[in-house]
Amino acid sequence: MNTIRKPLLVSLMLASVNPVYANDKTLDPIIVTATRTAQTVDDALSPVIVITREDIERNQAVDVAELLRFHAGLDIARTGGAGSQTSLFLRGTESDHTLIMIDGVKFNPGTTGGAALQNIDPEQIQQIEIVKGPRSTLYGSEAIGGVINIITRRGKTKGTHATASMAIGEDKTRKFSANVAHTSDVFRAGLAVAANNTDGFPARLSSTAGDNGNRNTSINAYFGVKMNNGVDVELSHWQSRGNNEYLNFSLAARDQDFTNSVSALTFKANPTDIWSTSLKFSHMEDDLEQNQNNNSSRTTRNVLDWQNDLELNQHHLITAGVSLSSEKTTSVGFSSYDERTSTNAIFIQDNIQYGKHQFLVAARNTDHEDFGNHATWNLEYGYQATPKLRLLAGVGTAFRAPTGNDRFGFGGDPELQPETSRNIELGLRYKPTQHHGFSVSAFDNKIKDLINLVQVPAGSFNFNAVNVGRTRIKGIEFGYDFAKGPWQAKAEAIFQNPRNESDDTLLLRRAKRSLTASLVYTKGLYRIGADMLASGKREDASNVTLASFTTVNLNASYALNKDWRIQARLENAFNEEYELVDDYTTPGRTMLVELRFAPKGF
Amino acid sequence: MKTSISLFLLASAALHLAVLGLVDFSSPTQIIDSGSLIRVSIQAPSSKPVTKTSSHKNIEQATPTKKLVSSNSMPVIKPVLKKQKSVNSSLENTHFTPDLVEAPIQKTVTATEDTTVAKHTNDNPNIPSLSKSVSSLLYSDLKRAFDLHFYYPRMAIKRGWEGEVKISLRVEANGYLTHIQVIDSSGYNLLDKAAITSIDRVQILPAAIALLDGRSLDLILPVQYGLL
Repeated sequence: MNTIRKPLLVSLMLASVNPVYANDKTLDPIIVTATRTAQTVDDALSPVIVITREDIERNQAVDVAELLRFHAGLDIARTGGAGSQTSLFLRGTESDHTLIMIDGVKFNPGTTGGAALQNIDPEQIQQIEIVKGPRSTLYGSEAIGGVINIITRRGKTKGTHATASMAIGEDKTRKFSANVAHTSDVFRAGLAVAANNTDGFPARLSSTAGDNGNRNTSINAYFGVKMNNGVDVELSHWQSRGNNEYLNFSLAARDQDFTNSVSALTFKANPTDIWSTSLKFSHMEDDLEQNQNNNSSRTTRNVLDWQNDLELNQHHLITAGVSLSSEKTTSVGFSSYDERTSTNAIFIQDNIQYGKHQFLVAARNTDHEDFGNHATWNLEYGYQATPKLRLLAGVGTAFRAPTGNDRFGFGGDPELQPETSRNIELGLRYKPTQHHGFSVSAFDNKIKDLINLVQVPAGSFNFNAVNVGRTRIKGIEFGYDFAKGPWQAKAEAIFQNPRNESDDTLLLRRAKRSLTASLVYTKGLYRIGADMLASGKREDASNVTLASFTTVNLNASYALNKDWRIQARLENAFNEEYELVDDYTTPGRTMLVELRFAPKGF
Repeated sequence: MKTSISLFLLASAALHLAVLGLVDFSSPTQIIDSGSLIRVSIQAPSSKPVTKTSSHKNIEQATPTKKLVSSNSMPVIKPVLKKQKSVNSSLENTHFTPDLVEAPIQKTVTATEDTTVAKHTNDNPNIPSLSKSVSSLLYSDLKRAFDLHFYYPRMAIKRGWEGEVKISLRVEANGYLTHIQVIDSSGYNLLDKAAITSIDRVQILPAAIALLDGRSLDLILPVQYGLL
């Protein structure tokens, strides 16, 4: 059989090495795969959480805080319902220690430092990427606890596509969204409008006043061109405007108008095979105006970011760039100021890969108009012990520049130095089969030079902002995910000790232990899911201890046909009564029903 | 500080203008080196003569196949065929058919090839023979070697570049890999180069010396780069 009779001129495909033998099995080509990296994640060395569009639509969250809090280590404290002042404590750090970006543009205001997460409608979001650990070296101020990049929706497939949704819920919640996008080889454009209104509920337990509602209308628009020479230019704009009702210190009903926006003009090019460059001009606005008096606060910031990626060879991937920022902060009220601050930075990172070893070395120098030069750095190492097991270690520093309020507000001092941190981290990722994945990270984050208001002299009513505070947060996080057949499950847990080292107390409103889990079952046209958050007790001001709680959200979806879907969500299904801030209300059992037009291709 | 901002801005603007305006970095063209490709003959197990029905079957099957491969494979293989001067168009079909048609048809295809290429016997007097077990041994040897050396260029990952590149190469009798060239580009120079570099690194397949028994073997190796 195997003797040769005649020569045969055939190019021998390795895919079927021996095509002549009819029973020979077809051999596969060489397949080289890599994990598509998230936009924010330049390396695989830091713990990352990605919340996808699919997660968002399943969860039916009415705001971003709702999406974030179902991940352990992302503690949320808020003063009431939708739209109320929301603080995020990432891995136990302060609420102004997490850098929030929208499409890569810094969203934290220069007045207070804490981003207005409550004003971002999930309807506009494609994906949320959460990177834990110090990231100031690439992203600058505030990235002490980590970085959250909120990526807005873009059309994905070629052609013109539209989606829409409508929801009604208890507390007179009304949601509406419409989204149209066109994508071709050269042009892409999209426009999305969303409205998210609710009458809410009384924000405080001790209040006898009526409901505290919230109205939010947002738009997201973009226009991009990809030229023949590979240069990509995009103009984009996201904005959110609305009105929020709240109760002031003496329980009187108040309301404020807010405007948040991020606009960007981005050029991207690949001048050579090994060099990518991007130039981004961005403008952000954060505006809050009280309607019962003339108090207001406002930040506008113009930033020019120039980033380059250079793959020197198979081993070295260099990222280097420059960031020039000019920020205007205005405050009218208890203490008024109107100041302009410029901050410039230069950074370089080398991501080194040698076989199973990966190193990341990064450094940044920030030149701030007032406090001068400040350097931050990261040193990380990853070791692929086996194809299933990856070990990680890292040490890095980060900082938070003093805000407008710190420098010019009540007791402010323009000479303040930045708050600084040093984090050490050890971790592992283990994926024994394609269905299961485990992760563990232990961290020790020391933060010093925290800006506190100090009475000078003691006992007087004269306060000065001083770099005196020290905190230290040690913790360990566990993650598990499972996906097989119709089942998807995730669980995360954190055990942490966020301590104020100056007076050896627990940091306020942060749990020492929390556990989150989600379970989703998809079968045919149906999908049901549950999200659970169990949080340990937390300290609040005036020696109040907030009790531990467990809250569960249930959701279900049924596909009416290939384009239409009806969904329902039961928030806090077991009607758990709990507080995130002393005397402030959290939602009881609340029903929301949604109709969604979501054809494939968006 | 003000001057340093302006300096930064100027430098950056100048650089970007240079990059955007002056450099033409249109998509890289395919690397096609139509150098000499020596082809290897593999014998069909069946010695039955070609019947009319089987030829007919072949044509029927080959039509969709042709469509599938025409967009990328055909233009690449053509220059090679020209060098061999006397290959007719029916051979063009058959080259890529075995990969795509059902097993029984493959026999037919082979038979067709036998008759078509018979005249080349004199051009290539040293035609090696390879048994099925030898070829799969060699393949697994190659695959092992490649697994150690293949990498995904990180810049391609960042840019979201994916694609399949077809590389032709020769395993010499002494085990060395030579004549490594791209015959079908992935569309990205970076991925093509990475595949070539990876194979270059393999250099030698010691196991091939015994397996090939003094002859060389030409192979086409598809390499797929994919992001998960």
